[in-house]
Amino acid sequence: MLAIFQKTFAHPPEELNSPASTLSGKTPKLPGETLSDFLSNHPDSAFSMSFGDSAVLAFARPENSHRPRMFSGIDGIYCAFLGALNNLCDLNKQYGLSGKSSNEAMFVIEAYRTLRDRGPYPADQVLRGLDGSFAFVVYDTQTSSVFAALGSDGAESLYWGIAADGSVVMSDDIKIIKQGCAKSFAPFPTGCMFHSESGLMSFEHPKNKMKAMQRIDSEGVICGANFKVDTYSKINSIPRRGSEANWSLANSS
Amino acid sequence: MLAVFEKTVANSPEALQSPHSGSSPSYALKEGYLASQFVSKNSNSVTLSLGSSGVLAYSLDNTDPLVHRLFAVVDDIFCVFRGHIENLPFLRQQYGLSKVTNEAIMVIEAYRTLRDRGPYPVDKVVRDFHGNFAFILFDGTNKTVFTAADADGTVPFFWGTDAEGHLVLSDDTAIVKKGCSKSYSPFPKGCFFTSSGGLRSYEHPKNQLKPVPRVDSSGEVCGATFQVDAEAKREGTTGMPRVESSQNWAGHI
Repeated sequence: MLAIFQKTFAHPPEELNSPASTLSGKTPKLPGETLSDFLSNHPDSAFSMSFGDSAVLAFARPENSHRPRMFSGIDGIYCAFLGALNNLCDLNKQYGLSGKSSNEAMFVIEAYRTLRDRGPYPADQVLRGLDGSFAFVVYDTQTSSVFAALGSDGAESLYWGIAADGSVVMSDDIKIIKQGCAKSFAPFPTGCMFHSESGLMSFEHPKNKMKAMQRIDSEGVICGANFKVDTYSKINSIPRRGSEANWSLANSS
Repeated sequence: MLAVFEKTVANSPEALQSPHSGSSPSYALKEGYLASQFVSKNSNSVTLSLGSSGVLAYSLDNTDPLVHRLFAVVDDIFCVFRGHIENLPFLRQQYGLSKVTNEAIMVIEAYRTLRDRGPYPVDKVVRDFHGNFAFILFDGTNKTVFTAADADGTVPFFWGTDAEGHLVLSDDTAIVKKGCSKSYSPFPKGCFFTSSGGLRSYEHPKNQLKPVPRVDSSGEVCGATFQVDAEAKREGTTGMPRVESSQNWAGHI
């Protein structure tokens, strides 16, 4: 799975950029080259979607059922999902989806659409209700926004980095990220979600801010940043609201 | 919308090839020529490259409110749908789909049923779609194409072959002309095309289709229109074999 989004609407965190990217021998690549690297790694089983200049999504059909991966696109919302949800049946019932024709990716699309349009619950509460090892990236063409999350147990791995033109690159394949982003990459923090408007937030500790800590790799250069929950700083407590409150992602902070 | 399929994926009928294309051959698939033509014509569009099997492209602009265009991808089945199906609630119930279904999702589910279970013959399934529509479906796992148009031909839908024998399908006649020069024609009304079964009429499933060469305004042969031959019946369907309800029509798609 590979997803590349322009920085103008994806707003990746600045701390992912590493000053060593320009100094060391390997330089970050442009999105087009990263995409061709990915497609050449999976010659028969991959397809890619290019949304003009703003985004590129590429997905490779899994050959073995070792790690379940799926891709779905409905109504302009596209989701690449890795892993499995244990309570998918209950979640399908909650969102009124039929179990027979719905997989995890379609559920995430429906949950994202509910959060975007109606916002009956805060996003972190919805993610806390997902039981299983998962990682997903959602791209919404209508609002040009990106929503990504990684489950708390860390069984699935997701990496993100910055490409040569500042676009954010997300993938579960560390080799592609290393080739595409040189030193400006990091593992996506577990138990966190990223939205292009509201930034990075931990859904396990939604009221605490995230702190970026630079990480040094084996060559001794700064390589992106690890994001950890800052237990001492709090975002302003959730204000009192009535049951009719709209927690749509754009309003949450 | 635009679809270009490699000739091993979709065997386009030979009758579509026009002898006069030789002077200025056009290559639709080479270096993504036709896809880039589509993108330059429609600013807000998405291109999907299906590995070596072909290219799908569709426009996100909804400038014409009367034109209903949908795209969906579920479980490696891609569907571009244009038009409107009037009995969608009935079909949604028949296939057990949830409320958030649109025509593209329903067509994907109908195709999946035909491919995996085959409870009814293909022509019956397409005859059940009441409305004005045209759709192109590509199955990524089997690398097969399934496309059909309604019986009235209200939705503009054209197909053709380029110089290398690849199949081009689109609702925009200018793009098809660029891809195929003279080897194109309107998609026959009331017919469907599959990779394995070729072109068949769903209104008269037992009859052969006869290609009638059509002559364009400059007096040259330009593709062929296919008409139902009332006398000639398809081989193998003279007298439908007696079957019970447990019959599996999946092999006939």
